[in-house]
Amino acid sequence: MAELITGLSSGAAYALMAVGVVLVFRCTRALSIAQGEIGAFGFFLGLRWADRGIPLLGWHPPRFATLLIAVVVGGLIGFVVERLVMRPLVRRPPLDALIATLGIALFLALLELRLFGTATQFAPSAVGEWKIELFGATLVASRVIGIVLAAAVAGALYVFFTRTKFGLAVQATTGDPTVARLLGVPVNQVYRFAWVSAGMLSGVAAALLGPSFGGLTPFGQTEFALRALAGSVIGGLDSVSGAIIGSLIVGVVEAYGKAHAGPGVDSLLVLGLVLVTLLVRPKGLFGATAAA
Amino acid sequence: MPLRRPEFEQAWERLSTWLRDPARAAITVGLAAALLAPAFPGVRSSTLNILAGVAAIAIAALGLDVLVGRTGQLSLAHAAFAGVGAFATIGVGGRGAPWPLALLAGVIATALVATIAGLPALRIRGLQVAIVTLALQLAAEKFVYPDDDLTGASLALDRPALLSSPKALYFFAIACVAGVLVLRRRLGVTRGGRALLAVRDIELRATAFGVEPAAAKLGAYTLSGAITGLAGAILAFKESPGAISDTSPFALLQSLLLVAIVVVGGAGSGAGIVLAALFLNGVPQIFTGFGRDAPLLSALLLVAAVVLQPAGVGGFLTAISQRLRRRAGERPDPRPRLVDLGAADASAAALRDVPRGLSLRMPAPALLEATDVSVRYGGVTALVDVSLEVRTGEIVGLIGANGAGKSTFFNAASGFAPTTGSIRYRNVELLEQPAARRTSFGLARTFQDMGLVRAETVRENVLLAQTWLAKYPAAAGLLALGATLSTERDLRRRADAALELFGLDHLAEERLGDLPYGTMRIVEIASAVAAGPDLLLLDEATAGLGPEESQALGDRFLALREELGLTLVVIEHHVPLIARVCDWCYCLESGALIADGRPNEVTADARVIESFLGRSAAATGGRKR
Amino acid sequence: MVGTDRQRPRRLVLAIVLILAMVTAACGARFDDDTPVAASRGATGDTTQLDAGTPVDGAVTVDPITGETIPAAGGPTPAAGAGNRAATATTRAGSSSASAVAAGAVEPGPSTGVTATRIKIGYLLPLTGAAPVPSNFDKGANVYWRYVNDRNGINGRKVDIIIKDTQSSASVGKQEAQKLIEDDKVFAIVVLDRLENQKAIGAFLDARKVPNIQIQTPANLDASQTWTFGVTIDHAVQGALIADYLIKSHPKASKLAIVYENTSELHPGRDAFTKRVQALGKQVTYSKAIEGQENNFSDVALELSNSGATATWLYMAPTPAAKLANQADSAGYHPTWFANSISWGFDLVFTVGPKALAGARAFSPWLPLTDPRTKTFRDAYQSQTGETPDDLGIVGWGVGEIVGEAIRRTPNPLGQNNFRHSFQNLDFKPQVWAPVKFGAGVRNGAANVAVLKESGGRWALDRDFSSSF
Repeated sequence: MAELITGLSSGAAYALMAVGVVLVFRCTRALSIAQGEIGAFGFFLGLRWADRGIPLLGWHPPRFATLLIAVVVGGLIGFVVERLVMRPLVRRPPLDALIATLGIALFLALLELRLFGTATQFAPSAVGEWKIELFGATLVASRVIGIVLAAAVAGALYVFFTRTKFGLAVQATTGDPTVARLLGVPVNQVYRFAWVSAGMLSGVAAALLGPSFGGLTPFGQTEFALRALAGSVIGGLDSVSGAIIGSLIVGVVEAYGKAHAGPGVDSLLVLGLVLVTLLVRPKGLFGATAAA
Repeated sequence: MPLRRPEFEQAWERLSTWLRDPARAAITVGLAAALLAPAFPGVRSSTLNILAGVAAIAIAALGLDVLVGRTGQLSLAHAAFAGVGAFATIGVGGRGAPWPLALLAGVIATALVATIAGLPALRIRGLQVAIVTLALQLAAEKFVYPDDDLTGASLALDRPALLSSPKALYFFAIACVAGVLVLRRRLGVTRGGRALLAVRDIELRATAFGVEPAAAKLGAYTLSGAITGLAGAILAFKESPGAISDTSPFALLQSLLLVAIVVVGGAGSGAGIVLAALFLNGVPQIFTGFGRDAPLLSALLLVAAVVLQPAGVGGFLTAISQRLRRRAGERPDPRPRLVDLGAADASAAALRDVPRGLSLRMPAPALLEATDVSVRYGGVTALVDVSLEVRTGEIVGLIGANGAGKSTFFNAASGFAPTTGSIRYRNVELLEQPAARRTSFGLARTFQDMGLVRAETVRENVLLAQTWLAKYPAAAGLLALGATLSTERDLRRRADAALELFGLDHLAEERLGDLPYGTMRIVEIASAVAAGPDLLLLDEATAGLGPEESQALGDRFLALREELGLTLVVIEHHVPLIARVCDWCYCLESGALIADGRPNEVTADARVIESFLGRSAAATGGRKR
Repeated sequence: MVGTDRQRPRRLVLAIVLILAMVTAACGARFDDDTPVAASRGATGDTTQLDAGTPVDGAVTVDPITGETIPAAGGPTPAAGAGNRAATATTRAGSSSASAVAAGAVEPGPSTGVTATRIKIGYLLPLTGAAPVPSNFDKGANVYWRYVNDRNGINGRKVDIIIKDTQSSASVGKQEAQKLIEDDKVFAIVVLDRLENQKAIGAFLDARKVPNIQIQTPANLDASQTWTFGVTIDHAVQGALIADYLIKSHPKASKLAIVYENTSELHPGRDAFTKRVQALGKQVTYSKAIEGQENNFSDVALELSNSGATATWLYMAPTPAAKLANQADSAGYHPTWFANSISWGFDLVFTVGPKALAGARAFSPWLPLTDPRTKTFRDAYQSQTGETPDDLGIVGWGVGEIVGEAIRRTPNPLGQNNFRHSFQNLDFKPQVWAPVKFGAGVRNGAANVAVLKESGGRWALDRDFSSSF
């Protein structure tokens, strides 16, 4: 039972990341591996500024402001990435976009290493130090907030995609950019929206997960993002709720694997899960279309 | 014997033409430089040791490129594959086996693992394959690497005497790079490589040429694994004596850097990839000054390459080559040459002289006989109970409005649609035969929207269409064993004959995608004819052609029948052409047959005019002016 | 057309034969510069000289004024190569007379890297890569040797050091070791890296007959590796000692736990620990392997708190150790955390796990910065670098003390073989390091550890060097 709870809480953390992956995929048909590292970079920057002051201003933002900085910087990086890298790739094969995000993740993580060193960056939780007990498992504040936020973001996205005009436009864009453009959908705005909000979500994830997992190292968020990726593939890359459920499944499977089998078996289980899902249902459990 | 001047000049000319391809020049110069490198002052044995490692990385990247460049699939597990090669080499060599055997074990084990890893790729595609390989890499890292029994870390691999010095290992590694480059070249000129390109670009149609997509894909994984395994084995020997104690050369980061090397070097370009490996992996290790920033630079170059120069370094090499050729005035007229149709020579006549997979006893009276053929896609019925026949030596026209089911009938006959009813060809029930085999019966077709690989040359496409005739095993082709060379020579001769027949011989080396659409269509017909069919199904052959070209194509249809004795079924909108060449004509409407008879009778039929000709004739007229 | 067709395969065959011929010819060539360095070197005449702080090709070196590390740009220049070659020639010429000179009990052996006034020592440190040490580590080494050089060096020779980066990889480490031996021609090499890398590099250096000092000491160092010297406690010995300490001395635990990184090199330590705990009639209630790059320790935290263990040994690098402790802290689990110092027994770890690691203990081969005996180090570090010293630098200083002492005790003419001999007989109490005592057949001279205890976010001495509890 306790494994179930820890598994679900880890899964919820992955879900927070997976929501961003799905958002980008739905709007741009690009599978982003950089979802973890974009916000992590913002988080690292926030910690550095809190520690040494913002360059030129010399002002030390309070520690809890790291969350804000991570979100803003994450959004900015998302903006730049969309404009400079992803937009030229719209008409190219989906694999090109994947490789590009891979390069971006690699670049950001290595830049973090270069700028901030290899040591773990520890930050006190931006949302307080309280915790709750559930069936013998303890959930700390940032993780609880993470779970709530993942659910809230998912709900917001659902409303956005199904109720708002812009959201419906996004739906139209995903099929064929040319058609969407002919229909009068502001395609470039949709892409920008997707990447900027995914960047901000990534910042939230980094600022919440960093503290709740005892600190953050360069590449650390990518490790999370890879599990989130597995979760979204299992749940269906174009389904927000699918990605969340997929991430929860990954979290639980991993927790059981770690508790009851040898080291490394959890990775093997996740691989098996991804494989079986893709072979039986290539579009994922709740997906509408298969990734090309 | 003194060298005579003309001979010398001829040799020089041949050499300079050969070297005019910058990729070849780069490889030749690079190989020469690599062989001479140890003689340079300042190159120490430690440098050679590093370069041997760089060669191994280059080989791993070349192995990855077999997948990326040839099948368009991305693997993020190639560092793990190299690891398998290294561990297997140590596992066998560390137990006392002679080193060539250990090396072979590394290659075979990796080829096996890669083949198994390729199995999911038969069902899923593109992004999903990338995700699965990513998960595979992580699982290998966490499950296999920490286990000393699996990695062979508890064993000690002796350095073979032959490779005992850094210089020897270096030369061995360079020889391996050269060998892998030769292997890739062989892949390009044999059926295995052609099949892969077809699977990459026109997967669903490749079977029409006798390509088996599943086997081709798995073969690509096997070859990719074998090459990458070789890289692992070299790394194992480089670390010997002793086993490989840390697995960082086989970690995810390394997989990503391999992708960076392939993308920066340019997928499909051997020379580009080797250069990229040297620059991204070698330079930082030799000049340790910027070693810390090397991976950062790789990542940046990777992003820049994807966005700005997707063809990578290889793309630059190709661009230079094209510029050189253009300067040399080698840009040919992109249109087919006019050919004297009566004078098709013996080699063209011999195109049909191919082995058949069924009895050649003349069927009477119909060559192809369709009875109650229906095609349903889900709830949509595309063809309803169509019955028709095609007699030997006839040219049969198939007309009807768009969506009437004409192409669907072709799909049914060639095995690309779920079909019920019966289609008998030379008394064999086609619906019981796999699509790939129907080609061997003498059935060839073209597609409405081009079923060829645009990225390849005209000749390669014609060779691809003859895949079913290349009966040597793909692996034998790589090693130039058995009948490979003679078969390929035959196929090439046939290709040239077919190209000549259609006046395309001067375009043989042109990239198909660079030619005008009309010419591409003719190339497709030439490819179909090169496959040596008895019955040719041509889907809107005149689409995209001007009136004169259409006229000439009509003459060519007649010539194909007269000179080669082919039977033709043509889907056409161009009524005058049908009237001129067809012996019999069928008209379809909404998937059902509504009329058949002599062309002039059918085109005069009221229903036919109503359903098709009125609108389409106007459209055709519009296209004429 | 037909003609070229027939020529194609022939050309291919020709090309392959040509390549094979070239390769065979090249492989058959003599490899004069690859013969082991030690084989033919004499004791005199190497004229290579390096001033302290001179940038060496491709190495990281230290600015003599500011003490900052500067990575030198560029590769080996032709001029430097020629210079080295000339030096080698001189060495060879002198070899015959040298063997005649050596009349004592021990052959001095090759004098690579040694001149009348200079000794060149190489360092292989994981400065970058997967598991790097912060750069203050090499600063400590630089500070020690400048301190020595400022006081006239050792037996009249000043020491130059060349630091190379292993990038936390054994294969890079071996490559760099080769560069140190062949290009830089160093006298001895000090190595630090992850255990498995350390082991591989050590074996490589032993095979090349270069005296090498291993800062971490893998369990059960091979007795035949007579050029390798360990200066920290053997991991298997340490494992049992930790059990002794946690059970008999502090915190007198009866339920113990161990969480270790999933690397086979750590198994001897783990097994020795478990065995000793059982021998003492107590219980290891939780033993778990984890991944070094793992972030998510919720399961371990949960299981640890369920295990009831009151003392937990985190046998791993600082990054996962701090993350794990933080997550366990969140889950309400507060045992006595225990470190074997080389993994996370540095002050640095408390910036990552400030609250969770309160009261942690560590076995350490060196003294904490707070100990008065480290004053010489602190003063030298402060005055040379202008920076506040930290406990990472102590390691560089302490190992320097040991290597320096071994050189000091080596009679002239100084050579790699008699240096090895004097190291083999070394019995020495350094200022900041646990006493080392070698002897015939002893590969690892360290048996003592100090016990450190967290106090106000720094390590403080809890018990002085001792070899039993």
